[in-house]
Formats: sequence, C-alpha cells, structure tokens
Amino acid sequence: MIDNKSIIENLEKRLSAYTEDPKVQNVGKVEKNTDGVITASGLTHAFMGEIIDFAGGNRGFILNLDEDSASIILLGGGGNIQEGEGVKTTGKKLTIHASDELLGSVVNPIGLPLDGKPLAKKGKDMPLERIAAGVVEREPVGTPLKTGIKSIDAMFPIGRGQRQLIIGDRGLGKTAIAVDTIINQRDTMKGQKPVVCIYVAIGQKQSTIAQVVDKLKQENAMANTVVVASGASDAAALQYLAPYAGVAIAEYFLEKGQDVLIIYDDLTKHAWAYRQLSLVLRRPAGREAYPGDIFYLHSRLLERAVRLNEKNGGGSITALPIIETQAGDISAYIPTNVISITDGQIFLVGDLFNAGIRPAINTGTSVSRVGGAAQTGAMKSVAGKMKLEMSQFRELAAFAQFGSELDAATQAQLERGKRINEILKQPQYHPYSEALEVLSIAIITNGFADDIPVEDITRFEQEFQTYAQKHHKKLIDTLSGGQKVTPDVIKEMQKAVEDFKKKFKV
Amino acid sequence: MNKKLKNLVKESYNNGQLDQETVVYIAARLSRKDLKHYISLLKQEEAKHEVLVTSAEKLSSEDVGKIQKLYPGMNVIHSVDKSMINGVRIVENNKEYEINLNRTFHDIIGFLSTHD
Repeated sequence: MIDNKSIIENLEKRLSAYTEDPKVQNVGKVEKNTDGVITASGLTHAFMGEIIDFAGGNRGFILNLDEDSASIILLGGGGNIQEGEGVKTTGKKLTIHASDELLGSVVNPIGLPLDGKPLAKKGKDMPLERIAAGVVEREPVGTPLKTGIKSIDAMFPIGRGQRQLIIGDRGLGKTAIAVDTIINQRDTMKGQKPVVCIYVAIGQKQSTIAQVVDKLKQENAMANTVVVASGASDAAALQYLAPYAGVAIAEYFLEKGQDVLIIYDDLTKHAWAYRQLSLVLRRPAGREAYPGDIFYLHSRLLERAVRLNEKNGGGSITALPIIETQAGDISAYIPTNVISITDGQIFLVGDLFNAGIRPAINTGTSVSRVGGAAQTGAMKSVAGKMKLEMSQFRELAAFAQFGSELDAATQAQLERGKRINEILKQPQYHPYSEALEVLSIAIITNGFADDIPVEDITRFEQEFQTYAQKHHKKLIDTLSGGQKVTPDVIKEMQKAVEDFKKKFKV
Repeated sequence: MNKKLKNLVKESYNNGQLDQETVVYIAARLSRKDLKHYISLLKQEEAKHEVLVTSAEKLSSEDVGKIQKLYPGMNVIHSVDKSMINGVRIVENNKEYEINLNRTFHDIIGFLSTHD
C-alpha cells in the first residue's frame, strides 16, 4: 500500500528540477480584431515570432512589428476577442513537443492530438523555426531510400537526405506515391537503419487525411509514422505552420541519429495559406499576389532536409514535397520556385495516367540529381541502361506511327520499350522489396521476357515473383543483399525464368 | 500624421498635468478619425503615469507606502484579485511584474505532467 510519506517523497523528487522565476512580462491591449489578425498596442519589448497570450485564453504569435503596434496571428479561434482585452508576451517562440510517443499519432501543428490519444509526456520542445545545418555538418547523400516503386528506384533513385519533388496535376497519384513510400519503410532494408515517417497534410480535406491514416493502419505502416494534420477548415496560420511543425518533429528524431522521411502534401496549399496571411497583414503583394518572401518560405523549410556526418549523429531527413500544377504547367511561379530548390523532381502527367500507365511518371522530364549514388549495386547493374532505352523507345515510337517498314533492330527496340513500359506499371499500395524490383527489371533488360506477349507481361511478372520466392529463395536472398549482380546470378535468373516458362500459360 | 498627433499629445501637457484648454483647442480641430487616435494616445500617455497593483488581499497602508516610494510621482491604483491566492502583480508602463501562488500551482502541474 502506498503511504503518504512515499507520495510526498516522490513528489519532492520530481520537483527537484523545477525552478520558479518571478515573471516579468510585457503587457498591452487589443486595438483591432480583423480577419483573424489582432492589432495590439503596448507590446514594446516583443520580438518577431513571439507567442502572445490573451486574457481570454487565446494564443497567437507576432508576424508584424510596427512602430506603435504589433500584428498577431491567432492560432485558431479568437472570435470572442474584444477591443481593449489585455495581451501579454510570453518570451517564447513557437515550439512543438516532440517525443517517441508521437509515433502512430495524428497531431495538429501546435502539438495537440487529433486522434484522442493523451498528450505526449516525455520528449523535448522543438522550435518550429530553426536555421538549417551548415555545410561542415553535412555529408553527401549516398544511402538509398527505397520507395518500393520500380520506376522511381530504377530511374530516379532517392537518397537519404535528398529533397525530391513530386509534381503534377490533381488526381494523378502524387499522394499515392508518397503513401507507397511510407508503406515501404515498414520493412527495414538490410544493413540500413529503420526510417521514421512524417506525413504533413496541409489544407487537405479531412476525409482525405482520414483515408490516408486508415490506409497506413491497414498496411501496418502507422507504427513508425507521425501525421501532422492541418485541414482545409483550419485557420491559415495553422496551415502555414504545419510543415514547420513536421520538420521540427523530424529534427527531434534526427538529433537521435535516426533517418526520417517527411512528406509535405502539399506546398501549393501552403503557399496559398501564406499568401492569405500576408494579404491580411497588408504586406506588399508581388507576382500572383504572393508576398516577396514566398521563395524563402519554402527554401528555409526544404534546406532543413539534411544528411549529417557521423560526427553530428549520422542521421538524415529526406523530404518529398508535393506541388499541384494546373493543366501541367510546371513553369508557373510556385512550381518553378520549388523545382529550383529541390534535388530533382518526379513529374506525373495526365496523358500517361489516362493511357493506363500508372504511376504516370514522365521519364523525360523527371530527374534525380543524386542519381546512382543513391542506388544499390544490384539496382545500378540492372537498371543502368533502362533510362536510355526508354528515351530511345519514345523517339522510335513517334517515328513508328507513320507506319513505314522498320528493320529488325528497330522492331526489337520497340518491343523492348513496350515491355519496359509494362514492367514499370505497378498497382497502388503494393511497394516491392529490393530483390523483387531487381528481379523484375533484370528479366526485361536482359531480354528473358522478349518472347512473352506485351499484354501478358504484368501477369508473367506477378506469377514469376511468387514462383521465385517459393522455389528460388537463394536467388532472392542474393538480390536482397544489394550487391552488384554478377554473370552467375544472371545465369541463375535465366534458368529460373526458363523453368517458369514451362508452367506459364500465355 | 501619427508623429504629428504624438507631438500634439506632448503639447497637451503642462508641468506634467493635462491642460484642459489645450486639449479642447486641439480636439476641436481634428477630424473624427484623428480625434479617436488622439484620445487613444492620451490614454497611453496617462497610463505611463500610473502603476496598477493587484494583490490577493487588501494591502496595508504600510505596504502601499512602500510601493509609492518605489514609484515616486506616479499614481498607484490598487485592486484585489482573490484568485491569485497569494502574491502581487504590478503593471507599470506596459511591463508586468508578477509572482502569485495560483500561477505557481499551474506551472507546477504543467511541469509534472511533462516530466516523469
């Protein structure tokens, strides 16, 4: 039985770290309340970004400091704030409480749980705004982050610490690529650290966010994922803060030496929210009514994606920002801004999507500036030629439309290109392991499936993978190791394919 | 216009006291919008000469005298707020100095809930 003495002793022990400081605060009063912006006077010692408490219990932070007043943006609510109400500075900047307990949770940008779970107790308060790691603390990107999507891992590989943009019109599968990447992180790659995932939903419909969370739970990927949600009905201030809250949580895990994947879905809505805030703050409007520092909004966010050297913990943050274009226009203001910041882009096009090629990645305009440095030896050895073959196929396919007679070599190239197109198709929520990706690509690039009709390639691939996992486990294990594929392994693969073809019905 | 109104506020004072004649003279010549701003600036100026003292219990005359000595020439206005339980809050020229038992309890609860 617990007695009073032990309760008091426990309390004293826990309070030993507590310190009391007499508070000196700056006080003022509300002068105006318009469009979610509070103008307050008297806050002569306030600083930019400082959290302000209102007498009625509301909270906001300062985004404009003028000679006689400060403009405060509310963090939700505030309809009951009246003129003359007292305001106080807190001396603190915006932070979010980050903790291992957040894994598996859905929180809002100020850290409040949205899924009914209790507030995280342990952990650390991480600042939302922070200067990115310097050049000396960084290391070149060299470790792969596997998305489980064949076309991306083969031709536009992503490394840990890279920023890879996913860009395209609405409804083309941008979020699908992001969710598949998160699902693929539930299984740790051989010899690599597990990856913590953070999905930041900015201005999305609540139903869409709920669908994503539900899918992650179904695929057992939610256990190492944090969702930071700021829906379409949330205040513009919360939508503006959401990505910074996400990266602050990512930095908590980074400081512990872990690898983190963060997805910003999407930065177009983030730019809209910041534009709204800037307009109500009466800041000068520039191109497309965006404020002058719209580039800095995203550059300072994305620069926090980093690969740290061993001396600084060896962790990484990989960022996958998403941008929604209108009518495929990648030369618009916000898309060009973010393209110039990131280390590559995956461009999704409607024509491919409508033609049934999904993921609808345009291999001509997509690029990864990290490239082969983020690929395993196995993938490099089988996929090295694939991008070139695809590019040649595209040129030839346009030429072949004229219906002229083609020589045998050109015909073979066309047939090979069609088969590559087919093998790169992949259903949603089915990320592939490294071994299966290498296997699928190798059987095409080595010509083992040249005698299989194009329309049967997908079925051939699926049935062969099942067959190989059952009857050629040694081959699968070899390919999982990530080592360069030797001629002996190719021979073994060929033998496996020949054995399977005897059973496969065209 | 803001600077001009601030200068007018300075001119409205005579030996540290608000001069009624000057205020009426100025007020008659301002537009409605500027008049509202002028009044707001006058109130801010007046607040600089005031010290608001809030305590949980009514202060003794001795304590009031001590506070008056700390702020010579200022108008000390005292009020009671029982929710503080114990302690004092002093607001002087947009700065607030506070130590009270109610807030200390809240801080302790907050500290205990986030630290094991």
